[in-house]
Amino acid sequence: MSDRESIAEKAAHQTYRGVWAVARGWFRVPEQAPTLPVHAGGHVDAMRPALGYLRYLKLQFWLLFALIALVTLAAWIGLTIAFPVVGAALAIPALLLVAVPRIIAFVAMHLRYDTTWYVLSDSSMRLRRGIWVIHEATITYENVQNVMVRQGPVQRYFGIANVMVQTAGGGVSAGPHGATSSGGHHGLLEGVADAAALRDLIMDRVRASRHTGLGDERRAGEVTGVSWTPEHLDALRSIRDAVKLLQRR
Amino acid sequence: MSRNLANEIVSDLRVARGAPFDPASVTRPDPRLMTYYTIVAALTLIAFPITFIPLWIRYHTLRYRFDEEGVGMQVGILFKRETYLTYRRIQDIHVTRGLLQRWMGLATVAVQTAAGASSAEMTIDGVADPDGLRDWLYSKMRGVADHAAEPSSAARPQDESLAILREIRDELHSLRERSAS
Repeated sequence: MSDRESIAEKAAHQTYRGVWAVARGWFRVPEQAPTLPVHAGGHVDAMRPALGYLRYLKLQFWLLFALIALVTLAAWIGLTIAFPVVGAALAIPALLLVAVPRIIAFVAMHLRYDTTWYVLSDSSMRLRRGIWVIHEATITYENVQNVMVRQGPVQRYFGIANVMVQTAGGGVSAGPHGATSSGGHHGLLEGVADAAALRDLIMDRVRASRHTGLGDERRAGEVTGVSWTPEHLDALRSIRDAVKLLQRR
Repeated sequence: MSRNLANEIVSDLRVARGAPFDPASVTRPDPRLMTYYTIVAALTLIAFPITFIPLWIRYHTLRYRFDEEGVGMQVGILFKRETYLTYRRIQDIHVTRGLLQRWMGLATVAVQTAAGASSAEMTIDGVADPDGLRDWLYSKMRGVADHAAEPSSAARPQDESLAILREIRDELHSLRERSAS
């Protein structure tokens, strides 16, 4: 039983891969993760959402499927009782009406998972999502203002959470599941397994930055803070000592 | 230092892609944008004239100006709109590609600054090499080149203030010696 199931699963997987490979060419969907230019010695980490996210999407899918099927079935039974001939004629169209959009939705759900990429480098992140319209956001950690983690009860069951990174400028309303996936001034990492670690990683970068993330010039920082080196302090100490000796006289 | 690094990143990309992205050469949108606009307008069927004319005007008046510090964009005949922003103040870069745009090799590059609007401050349409533009803007953004430049600038204090401090110290020493004698 389980053997047959796994064979069927593999066949479905292969079919999906094959069809998707062809569709990818037509729809010009890039196969690889997006890249980020890095300087020598830096490294880039490309990841997809956690597997729990796919399970979460599947649960949503089956719940919606059950609801649509039940409503359609109830309507069809009602119709068949009232007009048996019309009911019999409409049996197959009703079945198609339920099945076809749901098959498309199922494939779209997998595609959504497969085309979502989160790429993190030492200095910035690039987030890509979408099948029909591909949306790609690039944000440097220097510009990040805050990081929010959002998790609903069902997401907690699947061990996933949404991480939202916001930059200055606002205009993003934070709903229960973060914000919309497009639009500006934020980046959304949906369905991340280890949200706390990711939040800490980003916040460490933000704390390390001496700037407010509003486009401060590097030159301004150098004049005030960076220029006081041990050499400066040594020179200042010897001035102090020299002045003390003068006073003593 | 940071400029060197930015150039290095850009030159790395050149090796990867084969053709360099030259922002100074981008002053007008690519002719493919007009084709794209025509198709988009044609998709509205009956409303074609109403949707087509603004897009036609937009295409023919759109001007870009990339310089060392920032980018300017101008559009419109009667009501002119001109936007200028500096690369350092870019908050995030969003690249959006619809299906039709992907087929035509186009993309919409939206650039955000910290101004208080959810919509992008500047949307750059119809650039022939959108990935090149995106990477070029990225290399100019804050927090990309700065990171590597930081330690080296702190390690070598060659500034004037140190020299002045040493001078004061020497003056004080000589003053003390003179008053002692």
